[in-house]
Amino acid sequence: MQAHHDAQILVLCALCDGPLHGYAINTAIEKMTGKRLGVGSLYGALTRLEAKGLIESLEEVARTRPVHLTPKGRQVVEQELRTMARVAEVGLRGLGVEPA
Amino acid sequence: MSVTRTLLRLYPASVREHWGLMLETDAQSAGWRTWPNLVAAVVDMWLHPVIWPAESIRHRRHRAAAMALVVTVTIFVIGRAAAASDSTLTRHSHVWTLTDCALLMSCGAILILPLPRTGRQAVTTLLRKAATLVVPLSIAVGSLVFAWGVGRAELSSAQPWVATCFWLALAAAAVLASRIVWTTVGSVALTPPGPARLHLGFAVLITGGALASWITLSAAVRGGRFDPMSALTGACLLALTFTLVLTLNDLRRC
Repeated sequence: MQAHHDAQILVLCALCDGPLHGYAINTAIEKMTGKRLGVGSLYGALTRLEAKGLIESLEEVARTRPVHLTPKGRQVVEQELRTMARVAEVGLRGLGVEPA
Repeated sequence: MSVTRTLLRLYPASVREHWGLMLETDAQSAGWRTWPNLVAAVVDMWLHPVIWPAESIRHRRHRAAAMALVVTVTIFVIGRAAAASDSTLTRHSHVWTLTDCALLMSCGAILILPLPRTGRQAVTTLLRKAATLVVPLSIAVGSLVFAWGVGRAELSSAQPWVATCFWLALAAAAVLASRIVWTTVGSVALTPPGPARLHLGFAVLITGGALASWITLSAAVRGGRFDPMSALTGACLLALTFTLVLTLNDLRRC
C-alpha cells in the first residue's frame, strides 16, 4: 500500500511542471530520486491517479498519451508536499541540522 | 512472441488499450529487468477492477458488482468442497455453519445484482445478449442442477466417477457463471446497483466470507489436532474475502 502511495506522489510531483507522457514522467522521477520506477509500478500509479480524478489523459500525440494534473490533483499534491516539508523540517531540527 | 509482450497481454484489456503503445514501448525498452515488476502490476490490476480506465462511475460500480459476484461464486465452490470433506462444518454444532454463511452471502449477492433497464432498446439488447448466452447459461444451470442432485447423496460413498462429475459440473457452473457476469459489464441493458445498495451488499458478503473463513480455520485446530486441508481452505476463503475488502476500499476512493 505504501509503495503504491509513494509511486503516486512521485508521479504527481513529476507532473507539477506540466503534461508529460509515461517515459518522460519516469525520466523526471529519475532526476528527482536517482531511480526510475518499474514500468508496472508507473502505469499502476497512473491508472490509480486517473481513477481518483487527480490526473487526466490528453489526446494522443505521436502515439503517446500525455497526462496532466487536474485542479483536484494540484490541490492534493500541494497538501502532500506541505505535510512532507513539515515532517522534514521537524526531523532535521531534531537532528540539529538546518533545513535547506 | 517476446516475454514482455506476453506479460503485457495479461493486463486487463481496458488498461492495455488505454495506455496502448506507450506502455508497450516503455516495457520493451526496460528489458528483462522489468519482468517481475510487470508480473506484480498485472496481479495488482486484476485485484483492483474498480480502478481500470472507465467511461463513468456507473461503469466502475458495474465492475465492482461483477468482481464481487465472481468472488462469491468461488467462495461457494471452495466452501462446498470444504463441507464435502468435513461434514461437521455444516452441522449445527457451531453457532454458525457454512450453510448459514452461504445463505448470508446469497443475500449479499442479491443486493449487488445489476437490474435490467426498462425501455425498448434496453430490453432488445438484453434479449440479444441472453440469446448469445443461452448455451453457456443452459450448461451452467444444468451443471448446478446435476451438482445439487449429487450433492444431496453422500459423496464419500458415491462412485468415483459420480464424484468427479460432481466437481466438474460445479467448476463448470462457477466458470460459466463468472464469464456471464463479466460479459455483461458495461452493458447498456443493465443498471449497476446504486452506491448504498452496493456498499451494503459488499458489507454482507464480507461478513459472510469472514465467518466462513473463521469456521473453517477454527475447524483446522479443533480437538487439539491440526488439519492442514481445513487450514488451507480457510486461508483461501480469507484471501478471497480480502479481495472484497480491497474492492470496497477502491469504490470509496474512486
